[in-house]
Amino acid sequence: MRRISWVFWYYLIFSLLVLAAFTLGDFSQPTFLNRLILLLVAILALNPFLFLWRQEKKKIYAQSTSETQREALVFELEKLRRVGQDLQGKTRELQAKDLELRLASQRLAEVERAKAEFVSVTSHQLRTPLSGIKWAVNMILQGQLGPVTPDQKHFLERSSESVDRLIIMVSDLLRLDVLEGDKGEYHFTRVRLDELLNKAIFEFSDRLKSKQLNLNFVRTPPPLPEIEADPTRLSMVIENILDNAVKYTPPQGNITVEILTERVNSARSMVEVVIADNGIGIPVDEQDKIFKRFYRGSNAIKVVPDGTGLGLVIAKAIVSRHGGEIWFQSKAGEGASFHFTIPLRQNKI
Amino acid sequence: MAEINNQLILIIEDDEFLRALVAKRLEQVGFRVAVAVDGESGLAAAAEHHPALILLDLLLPGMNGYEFLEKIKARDDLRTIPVVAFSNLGQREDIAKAQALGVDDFLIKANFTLDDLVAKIKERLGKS
Repeated sequence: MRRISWVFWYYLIFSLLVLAAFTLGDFSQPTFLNRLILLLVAILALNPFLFLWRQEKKKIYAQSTSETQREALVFELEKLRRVGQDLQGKTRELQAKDLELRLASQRLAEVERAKAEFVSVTSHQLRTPLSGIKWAVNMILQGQLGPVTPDQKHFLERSSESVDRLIIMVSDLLRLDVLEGDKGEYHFTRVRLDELLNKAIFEFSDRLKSKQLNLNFVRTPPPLPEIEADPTRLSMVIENILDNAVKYTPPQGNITVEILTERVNSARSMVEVVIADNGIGIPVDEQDKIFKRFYRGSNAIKVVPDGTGLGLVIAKAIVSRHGGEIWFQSKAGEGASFHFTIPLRQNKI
Repeated sequence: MAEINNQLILIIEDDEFLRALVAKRLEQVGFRVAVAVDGESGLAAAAEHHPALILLDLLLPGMNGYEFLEKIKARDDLRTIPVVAFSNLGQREDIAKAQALGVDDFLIKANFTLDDLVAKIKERLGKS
């Protein structure tokens, strides 16, 4: 590996020969001067050797350094190779996890479908025996199957109410299933929102009167643009919100209905409907649950014990299908204002 | 009203309890009643009795209510008999489909009482 140049050997032998000559030579008159000259010659001859020897040492050192560096490099390479192997392993692990996740989400989708199917089938089938009970109870109650005592009448009336409540719950559940699923067809047409609101408010006129509630429909300054919506479904949204306002506002309270058109000319043109009341409101710590299925505010249950907790869920499903948003502002005891937006135009697919 | 009563109503309904209840109430108010449990027997009963009105459930075993409607509206001797669909299928697609097939009224079972049904039948018979 380490090649020492021929110059080195040459000078080494040369200087050794001179030294040998100097020490072993037979000088007839070995004067001091003679010896001195010979010594100098020998030193001179040794010089290149010393020089070369130093060079060699440097070379050897350099070589050994590069050797260490090489080893370090090999070591680094080895490390990198291991990291690479590690990465490959991790990638495979990730791929496996990804597959697992995809399978899990597939299974989840299947469960969702099965759940929706279950809800739809059961609500259809539940309504058949419920209809039977309802009809029979009403026949007995009306005395059509023989005389009824006052006690019997009282309990039959309660039974009839219970059945009706059950039917409403089952129907709501079915409706929600249709509205949230892709089965529910939406028929979008041009709709005048103020007319829709007027009609819904009219439907409530008896209840408003009997509770002495004051409803104020704020007129929107014209022009009010037509919107593209499913009028039946959208009416359901308005009615569900109004129903809550009427239910949860104490007698002589106020309800305000308003259409806001401020965002009509914005990038995504939409109108906003506000239905506000000064009723019992929604406790702050329950507000994130209000749009969840079957949830009813703790104070709402006290005022009206019966209810399905589906009205706002249905409203949200419908508004979402229209591409709008629904939200509210409320504090317990300070009323609630519900807002929803409907885009002027539906995005055609 | 005298001529409305004693007329024959054909009830096509697979649920025995519901069938019995409807029959009972209709007989009470003075109608005569024929019953069938599915589309095929309903069609045969209609041809045999020529009822004044048919009460038709839509979800039936075998030939369902929609198929029954197609068949009966294709027959010259039976197509004029008024048909009132009563079902718990209440989605607008269901209603639209039945109306397209020529149904005269559509009632959702869970939403009415038998007295409402009687009123509806009388109203329909008075029209025809």
